[in-house]
Amino acid sequence: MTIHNLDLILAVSILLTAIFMIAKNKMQYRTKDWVGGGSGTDSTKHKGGIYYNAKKEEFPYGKTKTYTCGEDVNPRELNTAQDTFYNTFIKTFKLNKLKKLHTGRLTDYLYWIFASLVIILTILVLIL
Amino acid sequence: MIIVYSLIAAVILTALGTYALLAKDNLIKKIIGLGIFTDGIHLLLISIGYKEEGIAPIIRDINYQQLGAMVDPLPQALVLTSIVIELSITALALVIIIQIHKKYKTINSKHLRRLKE
Amino acid sequence: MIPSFLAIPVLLCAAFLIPLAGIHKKKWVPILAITATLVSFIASLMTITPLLNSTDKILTHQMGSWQVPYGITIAIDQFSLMIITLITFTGLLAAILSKKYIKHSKPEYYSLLCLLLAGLTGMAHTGDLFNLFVFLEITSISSYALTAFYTEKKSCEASIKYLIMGAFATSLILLGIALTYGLTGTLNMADIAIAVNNNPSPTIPIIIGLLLTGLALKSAIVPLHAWKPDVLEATPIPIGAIFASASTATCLYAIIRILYTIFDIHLTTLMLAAGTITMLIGAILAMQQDNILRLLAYSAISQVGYIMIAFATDTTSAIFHLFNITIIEALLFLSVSALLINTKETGMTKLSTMNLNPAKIIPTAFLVGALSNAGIPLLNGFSSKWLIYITTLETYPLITIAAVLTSALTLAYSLKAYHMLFRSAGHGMGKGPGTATTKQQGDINHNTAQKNTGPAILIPLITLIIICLYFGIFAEQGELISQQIAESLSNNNIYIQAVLNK
Repeated sequence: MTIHNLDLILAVSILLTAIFMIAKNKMQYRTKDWVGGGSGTDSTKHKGGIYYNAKKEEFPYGKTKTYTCGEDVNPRELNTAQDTFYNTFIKTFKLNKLKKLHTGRLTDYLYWIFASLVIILTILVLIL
Repeated sequence: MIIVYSLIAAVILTALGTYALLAKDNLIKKIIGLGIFTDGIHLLLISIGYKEEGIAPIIRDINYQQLGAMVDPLPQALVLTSIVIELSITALALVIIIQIHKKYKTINSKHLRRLKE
Repeated sequence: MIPSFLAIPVLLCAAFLIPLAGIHKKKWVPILAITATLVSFIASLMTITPLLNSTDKILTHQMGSWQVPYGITIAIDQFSLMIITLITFTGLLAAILSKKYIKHSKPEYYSLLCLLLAGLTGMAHTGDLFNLFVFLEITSISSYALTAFYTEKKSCEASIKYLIMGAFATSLILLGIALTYGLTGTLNMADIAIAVNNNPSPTIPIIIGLLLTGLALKSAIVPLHAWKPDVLEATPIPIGAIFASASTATCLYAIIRILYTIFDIHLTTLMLAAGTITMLIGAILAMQQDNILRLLAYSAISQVGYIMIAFATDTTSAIFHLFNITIIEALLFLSVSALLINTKETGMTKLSTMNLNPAKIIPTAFLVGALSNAGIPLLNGFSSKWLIYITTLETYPLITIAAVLTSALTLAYSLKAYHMLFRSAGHGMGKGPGTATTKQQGDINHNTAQKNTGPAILIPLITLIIICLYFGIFAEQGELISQQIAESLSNNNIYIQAVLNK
């Protein structure tokens, strides 16, 4: 439980510095209301890219910088996009065509229902 | 003989209902097609219970010769239940279509493609 | 006297009293819903001993004291009781977690939840074919309304698509019931079984085809599965847990009741074909999804395929796997809903950059559910999947290859989901580089965020984890119970005698 408490203190302190920086940069925030729904996050204008210049980060052990392909990258930018997982497997067997078959149109889904009804009826009449 | 006419009518209604459901793109037309399809099935249900030279299944005083000639009342009860169910589905569908028109500004089902794949 | 039948009136009364209570005090609304689901769960647990002590292990009751083939029968055998306990259990856990998930305690939500559970419970209790149709419609209409609960763009779209497809399918079921009535003259399940046995007719394959297509759409078997990812993306996530677990189990129960008890037909080729296609397509599509809820929806679709191939060979493994799938899907969806309490964002690439700061129970619950889905030993998914592999290996070895391949694909997308949700560079899961030390655009507003701990979250997740571990370690208990249920399903004369000689 002590690690949990340290996380709490760290999160609260970072929250206070973030609030200070917000007041300094005059940012606009929008709290998302649960009723009526928001439609995802907006990007607000912010100078200096999409990441804050936080205070100097203290890492207690290990690497302090991330080295990728000849340059040091901010670790927050290292999130993998979901398309890259199992990309070779999907592309060789052309499985993304199967995903494109679900067009999203209601009439196509109703044709599937009707076609499977006809197929099941013919199979059952021939078997039984 | 009269039963054959109503069965043919039920089949024609069902076929027209599936055509409207599959071929039309407007959501209101699909709901109308669903209603016609269900009405064809109701007609089929009622005509299953028909008896030749039948009379209405209402007991005025116990007359045992008349009991055998009564039309079957059970499918009529089933059809009443099913009409109520179809009514509530149509009402709910129309409410959702009103909301869709407010958000998407269209009722064409070809243009409702925000959720796909 | 059937104690579990009390669940239906209690849930219906709660569904009608909750909006009244919501006018007076908003605080009573979740308490009323949790009380109703708790009473129904306890009532279903109290039926276990009367059922096992009765002769033939079937409890029957006639509504309104009508004679046997003429009224509505309530007939519970062991399979029904398993489904009833699963429905009320997942309903209770979803109601408990909704207390934390739904802000401002909306009375419409809890009222529709109680209606949905009443419809599902009614479907599992009944012994009459048209009564099954009516309760199926109650379930369907509550789910159409719950899909459109948020009145956003995607919720309305998912709801209208589900409504039109679902209404078409239940009309096909009604057509099947109409033809059955025309053929036999009765609607009681036991009576239809006797009439169908005595005079076979060429209409019977058509009736079975219609009924199967309608019920296959409600339980999402592959060509008819297109509504499920859209609906599970758009609905509130605890309701998605009930859709994926209890609703699927009840519609599979209805298919089995119609095929095995009424018509006494074991379709092997059709179930094998549908099962393999469902498994493979579900797993393949789940690997390509960005949205976590669509990924879990395709995962649920693929696991139903396992149940279909198991019913073609050996019923014991199928029933055990049905039980396990219900528990696993409930666990996965409830853990995701506990994770996403404070945001509406469900795309995994976006979520991997956000600092959600989950409590330590939530990644554990998701990991247990995901590994159990993939078939890792010591968890309950492995016990039932091992039984399926063994029984299909004797007769259809190619199907076993497809099943093992799907298991590998399941592990693939489960690890992808776990990595992107809990182990990406955005999350403060430990010290070191990549910990969330900076606050970013689009993060949760920590001033209004709820902490995702507390008894409303701990109780459902911990009970489901304990059940997963129990049926993984003591797998023989589950196998013995499902063997008893499979034996009671194999011979439908016991059911017919118990219902008609009451």
